[in-house]
Amino acid sequence: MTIKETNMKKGIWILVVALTVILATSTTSLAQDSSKSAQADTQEMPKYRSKYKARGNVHSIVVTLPFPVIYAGVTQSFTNLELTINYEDQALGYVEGGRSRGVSGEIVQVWIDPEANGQYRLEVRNIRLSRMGLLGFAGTKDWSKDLLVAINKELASRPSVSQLQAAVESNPASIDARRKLIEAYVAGRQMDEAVGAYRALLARFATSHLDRVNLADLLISRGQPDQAIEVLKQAQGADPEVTLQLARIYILAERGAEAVELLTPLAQKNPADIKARYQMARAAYLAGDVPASKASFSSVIEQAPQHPFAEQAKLWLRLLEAGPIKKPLEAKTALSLCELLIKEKLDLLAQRHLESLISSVSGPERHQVVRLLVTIYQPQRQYAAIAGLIEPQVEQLKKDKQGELIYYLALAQCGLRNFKPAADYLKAAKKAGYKTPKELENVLRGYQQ
Amino acid sequence: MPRVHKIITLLALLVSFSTAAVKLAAIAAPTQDQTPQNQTLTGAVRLIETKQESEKVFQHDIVARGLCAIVLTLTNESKDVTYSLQRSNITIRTEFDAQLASLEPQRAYDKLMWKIGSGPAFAEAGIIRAIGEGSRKKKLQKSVLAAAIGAQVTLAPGEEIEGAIFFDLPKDTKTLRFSTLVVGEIVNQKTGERFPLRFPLSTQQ
Repeated sequence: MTIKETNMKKGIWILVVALTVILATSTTSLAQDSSKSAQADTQEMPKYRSKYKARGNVHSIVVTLPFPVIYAGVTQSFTNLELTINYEDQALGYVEGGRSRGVSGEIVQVWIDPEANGQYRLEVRNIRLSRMGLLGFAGTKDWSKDLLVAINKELASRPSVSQLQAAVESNPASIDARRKLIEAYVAGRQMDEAVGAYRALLARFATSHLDRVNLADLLISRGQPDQAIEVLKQAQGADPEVTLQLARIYILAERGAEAVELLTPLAQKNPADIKARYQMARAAYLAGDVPASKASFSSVIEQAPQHPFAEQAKLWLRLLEAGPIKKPLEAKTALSLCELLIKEKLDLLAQRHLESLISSVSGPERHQVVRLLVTIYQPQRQYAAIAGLIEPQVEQLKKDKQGELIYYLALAQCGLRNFKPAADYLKAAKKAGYKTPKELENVLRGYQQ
Repeated sequence: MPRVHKIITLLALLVSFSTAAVKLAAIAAPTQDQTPQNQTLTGAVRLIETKQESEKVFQHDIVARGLCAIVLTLTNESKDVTYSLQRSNITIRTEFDAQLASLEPQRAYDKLMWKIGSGPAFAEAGIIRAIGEGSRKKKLQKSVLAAAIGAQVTLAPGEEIEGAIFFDLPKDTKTLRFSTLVVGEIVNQKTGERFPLRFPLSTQQ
């Protein structure tokens, strides 16, 4: 053995001894810390057996705030405590994360469950993991109390709606105060108040492009495109982007001719503006002008064959072969049209067509209509509408092996917090051949009483 | 608890994991903004949506985890105007008008971390996993968290900032090259004027 090797061996031994000493002392102090924390737990937030069996022993608090505010508070508290979030399901109100130390770690699970009178119960479960036996466990901790304290602190720092209203009244020149109030209204699903607050803001800050666009989006989400048009019309001028948005809303409002009128000068002024030309072609078709639409879609394909607009324009041209749009729409045409509209985020218009179509179709066509409607309803959290569409057909769907639709029903039942049927439908979806996500299966176990 | 972290760090150093400081790669062929004529703010963007680009900029494949990023550079060319903006107002508008909200940097970081409990061989690789975990954490903190643009950005006269904004990669979109980065609102602190900035991502086609 050379001198160099001997020195290296010595060095390694010194290091190992040093590490053992540090580990031993840290283990002792951590064990003391965790016992202190456990004492505080039992005094302030006692651990109890959750009514949901799979959750086991949990700590909890009850808060009276809108759900989105609580959810944001929970995720922010994970961040504040430097806990990683590995899985979250906002529809269920479930967040899972923790901290990993390689050989040990903690999984922290939070459930936000609605209770009576607008209250929510937050249950926290902490699972310790170790692959180094007791030594590993000593390096872990129970985050339950720390997390609930952090959540409480985070939520307490968020002003109430009445405080925000007072802030606006005392400082009407502050655009930030007004925006915070609007944010609180939206979080509390007080949409009428939010629209009113936006209008008041725009009356004072007429040039705020951001708020004008946000108000228009809010109105569209409420199915009020005509009001959105009025809001955006006031900003129309030098900004071509606003003109494009306005034209889009005209299409949603089934005012295709006005959209064409708006887009024609834009496309003529700048022939290289492929977006304006594409939108003009689309508007022309919906306004019943097939030749103009065909010409514009063809020129889009010619101008930029690699652009996604060209690919989509080919689909529009295929639809155009059937001639001008006639109402009531024939099922096949309506389905092709709605697929295009959904891809182009013209959901409101597609929804109207599909809802008028649903009662007149059956079999595979009906499945397709339901599938498209679900893609529109889901982001809007219209769970009752999804359940109403799919549930009466569920036995037939099982026979037809329509696992995907049954899965959507399971998700809708999750959103409606009917967990027993949600779990049953999830199983049925799997049986019908749909590959259901394992995470959701695991999470649903936490809702079985 | 901090002692345990120290141990992991020490072990990480022992095996000489490379944790060199990460700097965002130089911007090549950035796309220019469409700033209003009366403003003296210029900017450029770079879209990161492939494995190669991601590894070059973040030393990590964020795309494999369903993320993409845009590196935004803003330069205040004025001598007396301060500009400000909020990260929460930055979105991507796709060619078909879908709007993608930006992710909190911490959420992006979380998505890149290993899953606790059932991640790749949690605790079964014992000390090796512990070392890997420490190294990964450090690396991602430097390459992702530190590279992210601040929640509130203030640009003093003559100042330039560069930072990344993270997004979930939309499942039904092949590429974001045809999209536009929209900074919903920039405030000219001197005049109080509020204006949007848009950066087409298309010149990288």
